[in-house]
Amino acid sequence: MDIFDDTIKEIRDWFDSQKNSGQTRCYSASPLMNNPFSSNELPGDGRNGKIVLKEDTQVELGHPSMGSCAETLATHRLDLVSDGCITLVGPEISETQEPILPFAQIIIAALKRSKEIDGTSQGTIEIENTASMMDRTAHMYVQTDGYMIRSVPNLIWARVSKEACRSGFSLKLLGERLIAAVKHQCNNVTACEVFFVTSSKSDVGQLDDIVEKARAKQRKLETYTVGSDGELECTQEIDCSACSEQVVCDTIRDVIRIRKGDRVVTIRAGENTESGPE
Amino acid sequence: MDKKIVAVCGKGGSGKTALVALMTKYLLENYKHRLLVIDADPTMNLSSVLGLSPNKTVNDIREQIIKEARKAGKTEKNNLARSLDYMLFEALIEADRFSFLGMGRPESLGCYCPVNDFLKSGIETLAENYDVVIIDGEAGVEQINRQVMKGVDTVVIVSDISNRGLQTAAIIKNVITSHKKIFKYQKLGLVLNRVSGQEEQLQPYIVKTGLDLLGFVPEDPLVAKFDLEGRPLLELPCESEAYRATSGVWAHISAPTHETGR
Repeated sequence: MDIFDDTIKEIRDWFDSQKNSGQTRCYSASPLMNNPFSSNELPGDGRNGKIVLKEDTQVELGHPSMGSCAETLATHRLDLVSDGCITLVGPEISETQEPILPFAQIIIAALKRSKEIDGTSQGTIEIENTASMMDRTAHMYVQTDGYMIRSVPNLIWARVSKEACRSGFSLKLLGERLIAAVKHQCNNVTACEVFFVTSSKSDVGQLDDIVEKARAKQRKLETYTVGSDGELECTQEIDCSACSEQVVCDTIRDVIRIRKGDRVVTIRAGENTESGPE
Repeated sequence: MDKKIVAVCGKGGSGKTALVALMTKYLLENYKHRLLVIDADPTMNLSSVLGLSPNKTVNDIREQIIKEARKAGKTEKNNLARSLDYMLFEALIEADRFSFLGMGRPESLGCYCPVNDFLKSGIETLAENYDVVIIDGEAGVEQINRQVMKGVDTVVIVSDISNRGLQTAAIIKNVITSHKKIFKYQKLGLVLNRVSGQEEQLQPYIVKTGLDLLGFVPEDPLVAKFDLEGRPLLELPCESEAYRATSGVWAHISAPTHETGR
């Protein structure tokens, strides 16, 4: 089982549970006729130039006061991802007169399986790296004229201009752009699915609680990297003496030293797993 | 119209905040420009003069960045790089037909030049989206240069008609011109505030400052009344003499220039 699989299942269960509410719909992404990438924003420098001012805004999604959640997750299990599917809980942009809506945007992707790294720490790191790349892609590559994103990790705040709405911008179209962009930018992605929520702050909050578990695993994982000898190295660029986890690291270093030569320690699915020679 | 970035500075009490408010009103009443007003004076009076209450200032962001930078690893650095636009957008007030950004008062000791540069790049990116940016500064332009913008199109030095006020205007002008390589500008001029019919007599004193005159703003009891009552100057009636004079000042500011400081 991969590191985010539990969370992906929980997300799917949550969306399944909403099906009876009458507010859920599923779209199938059609292939985009145009380039999915922004016409006004070139990736690379981490800044968002264009803004949609309030007076030009038709609807604001994920305003800090309304609830916001953004997450990107990956897995090696193709059966956990319904390729090209866009699920929306809540109103489409064209169906609401509200100027501000809560907003959750979750993107999940399945990666090519590779026997060499399947179930290893490299496999976990591939998942984590791809999730980060997907996150960056969602931030940098899907802004278009009239759709502005301001996002920090875990939160998304977007504006759709009146002009964009008149031109037919919709969450379905946004989902299609996200799927196309993720597949284009992440070579190892074989399937991609997008979930949106615009129904209520409470719904967005429930999803946020679910994905928080994945974020905790991600944070833990980001602290380590696998060295060429298979040992885990702490990557925190702070003085170890200031790190509250110092005791853990010191202990594990000692353990690794003791067992070096006949065993290595790998991290899989957020837990320490020992593996010895066959 | 070309984009315009205007910095207003001058001795404390000279009326620069009131002039910024009057220019804001003038632009809102007469043009459809996208207007950004930045309060870079740490005393932070402009927001109330415009009838706004900011919840967050650029300085709050600065403090957050400093705090996060103390313990940032690779991931946090990436997150910070990406979060700047979001944080600035949180601090931006989008009022009716104009936007406002309050710089606030720096709290952490230390110059934090890279932090200022980082914020400055975010503000400059934000400002690119507006037709006109007006910055209410401190006495001089040092703080604007350090924390807001590398350069502007026009620097307006505001003075009352006191000898000390005019001397200060001349000093500010000398500082600005001697730092041309650091602070870029195209036009530099003087606005004399609270003038009551002495325009002719003031000419020799204006010449002494070495500044081009951008206009006079008359003493206006309505402005004083609004100030005393704490009412936003945007609500001033259009008959206000000070307001009417602003059109002349703006005409000089927006006129093409042949000076090549910038």
